[in-house]
Amino acid sequence: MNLSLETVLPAFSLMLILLGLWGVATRKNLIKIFISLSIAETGVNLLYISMTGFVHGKVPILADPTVTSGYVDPLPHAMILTSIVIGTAVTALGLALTARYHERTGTLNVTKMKELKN
Amino acid sequence: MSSKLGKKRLFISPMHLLWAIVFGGLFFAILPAISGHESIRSERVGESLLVQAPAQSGAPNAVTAVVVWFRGLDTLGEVSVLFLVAAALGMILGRGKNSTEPESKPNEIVAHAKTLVLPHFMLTGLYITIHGHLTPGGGFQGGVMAAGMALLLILAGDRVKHLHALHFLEGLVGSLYALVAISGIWFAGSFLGNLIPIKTEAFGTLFSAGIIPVLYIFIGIKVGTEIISIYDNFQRREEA
Repeated sequence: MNLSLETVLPAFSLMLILLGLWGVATRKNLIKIFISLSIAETGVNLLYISMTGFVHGKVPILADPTVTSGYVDPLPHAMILTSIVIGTAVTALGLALTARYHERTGTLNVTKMKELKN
Repeated sequence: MSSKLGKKRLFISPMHLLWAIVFGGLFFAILPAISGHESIRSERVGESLLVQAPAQSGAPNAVTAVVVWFRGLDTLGEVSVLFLVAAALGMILGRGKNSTEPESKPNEIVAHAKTLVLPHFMLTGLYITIHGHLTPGGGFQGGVMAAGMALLLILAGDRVKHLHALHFLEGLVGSLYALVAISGIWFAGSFLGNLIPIKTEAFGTLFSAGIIPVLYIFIGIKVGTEIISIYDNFQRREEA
């Protein structure tokens, strides 16, 4: 098994995803939960980018429209561009709700939230 | 009670370890499919995208061609999601008063450096937005750079004064995106059709990729204004 960047990066991104999910499941602080969510999201993005074959390929900006081989796959990049924007939006919305919640109740601890319990 | 629960959650049972090993094994079994064997890569959609992108859209940057030309409708939806989030943030945070007094005195270095940094920052953002179909970058990146400039100004103690103008620009640009997309039905035969003819002989120059630079400039302004309004909403605090 050769340890090139292309084989190590998917494993590393999986580790990031699992680390983020673990953080979401175990942390008590709301802001730390959103940080964990961002880490998991970064892992997903890295997993997509590791599929492009960037070790041997060139940046997909064509100098000559007739020569189309030797470039990396442009599709994951375009997908991840969308994913980054949506991730930013989710983080902003979550942090806004967190800020308002902290102003109302003075706590960020998820175990102390009683508003939805009957 | 809660501390007991907290301790119980941190306990690792052998079953969890077993699942972790099974999951890891499954992942390494499908790893070759992800990390790109040549045989799989030749069957990918990206290969035909690289052939079709310059011919159909006229943009040398294949990523931009995918984002704005092949997936233009998705990008319209994505910008709508961003608009939705900005509107939701305005609803959640915007009721409060904009705190005109900064919480602490702005950093002296930031306050003095802003006049030096601002023109270069703006120019780079503008360049990245306009050359989205030629170089890495585009409307999203350039718009975020412009919004970063606004964040620098906020850090230096300034406030967004003409909020109505910001929201007007945001709505105007979003409508223009939709208008260009719809007018493609009449003038080019399809939604988001190419109104402006592609110059294949001028491949790789600024005015060669038809509708793509126009749409990417709209996207850049829209992303920039929306992120600035998100920053502004985070400045507000609830009135007691």
